[in-house]
Amino acid sequence: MTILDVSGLSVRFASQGRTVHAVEDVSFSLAAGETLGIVGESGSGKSVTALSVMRLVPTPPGRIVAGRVLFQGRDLLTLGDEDIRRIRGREIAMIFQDPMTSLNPVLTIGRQLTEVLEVHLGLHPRAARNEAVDLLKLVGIPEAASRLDEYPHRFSGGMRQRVMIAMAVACKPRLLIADEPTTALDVTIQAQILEILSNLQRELGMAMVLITHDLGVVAGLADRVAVMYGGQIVEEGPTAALFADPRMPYTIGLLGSIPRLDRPDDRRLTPIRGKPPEAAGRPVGCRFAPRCQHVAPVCRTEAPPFRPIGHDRHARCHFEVRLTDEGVHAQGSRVLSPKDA
Amino acid sequence: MIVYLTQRLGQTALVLAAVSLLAFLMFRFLGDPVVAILGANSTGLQRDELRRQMGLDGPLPLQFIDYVLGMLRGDFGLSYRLGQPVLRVLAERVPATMELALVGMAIALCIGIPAGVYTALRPAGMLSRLTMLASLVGISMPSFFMGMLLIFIFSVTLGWLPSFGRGETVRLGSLWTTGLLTVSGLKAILMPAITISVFQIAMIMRLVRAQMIEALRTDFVRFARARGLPSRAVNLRHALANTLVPVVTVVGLQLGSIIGFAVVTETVFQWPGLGLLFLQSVAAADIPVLSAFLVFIALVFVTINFLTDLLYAAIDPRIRLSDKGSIA
Ligand SMILES: Nc1ncnc2c1ncn2[C@@H]1O[C@H](COP(=O)(O)OP(=O)(O)O)[C@@H](O)[C@H]1O
Ligand code: SF4
Ligand SMILES: [Mg+2]
Repeated sequence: MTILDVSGLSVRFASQGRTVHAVEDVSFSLAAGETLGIVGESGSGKSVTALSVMRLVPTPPGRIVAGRVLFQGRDLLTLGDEDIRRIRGREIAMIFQDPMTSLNPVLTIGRQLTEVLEVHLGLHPRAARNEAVDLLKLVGIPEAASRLDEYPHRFSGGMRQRVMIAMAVACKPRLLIADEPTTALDVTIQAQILEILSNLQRELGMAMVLITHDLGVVAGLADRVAVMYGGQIVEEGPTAALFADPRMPYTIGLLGSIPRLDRPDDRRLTPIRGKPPEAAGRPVGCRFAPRCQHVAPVCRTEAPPFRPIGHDRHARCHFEVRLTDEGVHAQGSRVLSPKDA
Repeated sequence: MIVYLTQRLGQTALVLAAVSLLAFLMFRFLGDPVVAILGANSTGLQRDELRRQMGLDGPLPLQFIDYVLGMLRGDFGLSYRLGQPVLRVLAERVPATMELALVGMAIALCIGIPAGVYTALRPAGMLSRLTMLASLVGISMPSFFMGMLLIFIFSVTLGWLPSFGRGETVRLGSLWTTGLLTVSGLKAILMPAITISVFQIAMIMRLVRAQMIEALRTDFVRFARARGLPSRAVNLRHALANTLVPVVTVVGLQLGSIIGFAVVTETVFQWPGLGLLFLQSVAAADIPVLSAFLVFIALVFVTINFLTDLLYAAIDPRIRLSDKGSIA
């Protein structure tokens, strides 16, 4: 059953007199209990996509200019402020990248936990407190009861990320959006946090959107992957299929740039040439064209459509590009021209 | 905490000692008390005699110690102008000024904080723009002008409020007289307090607004929104609470300077407080009063500083009143 269905989402920012197309025509969907990994370089629009689902894009400068975000059948983008507020934290929760700055320094973590429980579940302060202790235990914080009255600065980064997770899942949401939940943490702690997230997901039956720029994280946890580039999803599909057989030159480059033990040495690192795109102004043609090895004249004049490729997969490229044992090949000519579409 | 308190007290003592030294030097060298007491046409013999009696012929350090010991007993000498003990002169004036300053600051906080929050939350709103404009006027309007404007409107034209004095006062204990318990006292304090508060309102409002805009951009406010907290809780419990440390700092300093330097307002309204006393004492070269005034102002600032430090710790748990001693 589809729990989240995003289609045609576009978000723009007005920044220093220019319009930044931060997110452009993004579509994806997610079934209950499923995990979607969103990967992409910094600035590719991952956070803005997530914030749009929560209706938390700072406005101004940002504005959601098009799209639909269906959550359990309701379009979140047309809800009133009070209705969306009731969904936040209750049905859809979100955790952020930086545990050091995401907790309020002047409130005890107990207070920050109980306030959600009181607001959404109407618990009385005493009941909320007991529940808060259980939540801290759930995310593996030792001596939970005695730590409730401490302030965030007494906790390490990893512990704070656990606290943030506890606050997010306090009301047992149907969907958890985790925006780079481990990026700011030490490697050893990253694994612990990911394990907590996947355990919680199983226990609570939550769907999860896991944003990261770490392909390893996605490979381990996600059922499906969406790759973002320059504000667009450029490839999307089941994790195993996408990793084994990437179809879009950017994805191929991305997978090529992580060391793979199952491939010959000479192909281990294939960093993608060039710089990420400027988000300002709407580029004509394919956004990846300036960096693409397979670029053809048509790529610079016509934007490739986001088209189905095989079973349950989509890619945004004019060509049928495949990774074979001999290297990367663009097979044949254009499979589907924009005019045909 | 104990370490902090003792350190803080040590610093305080040092500051007060330095100020006492200044006050003493002023007392000893700016005005010759002997001449002042005996009159200008006294003979040198008479003066030497009095000097000896007053202990003013000994070595300076001893005289300073005498001065400090006297100060600790509350003995600042006699006012040249009034011939009364300085302490009594001050004690008559301090309550008037303190009440004026506190009421003025209370008005400023009650208006400045909500206005700051409001303009931060609706930066583009019409009312916000008007408020910001008004605050510019408030910051640049001289207080004598404000005072005279109020007098013109509410005393001269409407006749609602008295234009000078403190109204009826009530004695509380042996040292304090208050004007806050009588109708005429309340009427009398209204205009001077508003005059004092205008600048403070504008400043507090602008400070709160700037801090609040900053706080609204923080990750923890975004996370609070993402948890679906009502905007009241987000704006007040999460954002505003994080703006209070700078606000407390500024309010403390401002309170000190209102108490110490309310000269203009007190003059405009003939408010029988320290500012007026200060002017009268300068005019009469009443050195003992002036040096005691100096010590008193230092005491006020030091006390306020101490209280704000305690408040910091109450507001922000990261500020530990511990081994580090000072507050960053
Ligand atoms: N508050 C903002 N103001 C202006 N531009 C923004 C803002 N937030 C995001 N953007 C723009 O949106 C683009 C995508 O940002 P983001 O979604 O944060 O990227 P990611 O999370 O993938 O690193 C960025 O290039 C940036 O220019
Ligand atoms: S459309 Fe052209 S430029 Fe874009 S990824 Fe495909 S081949 Fe490369
Ligand atoms: Mg991001």
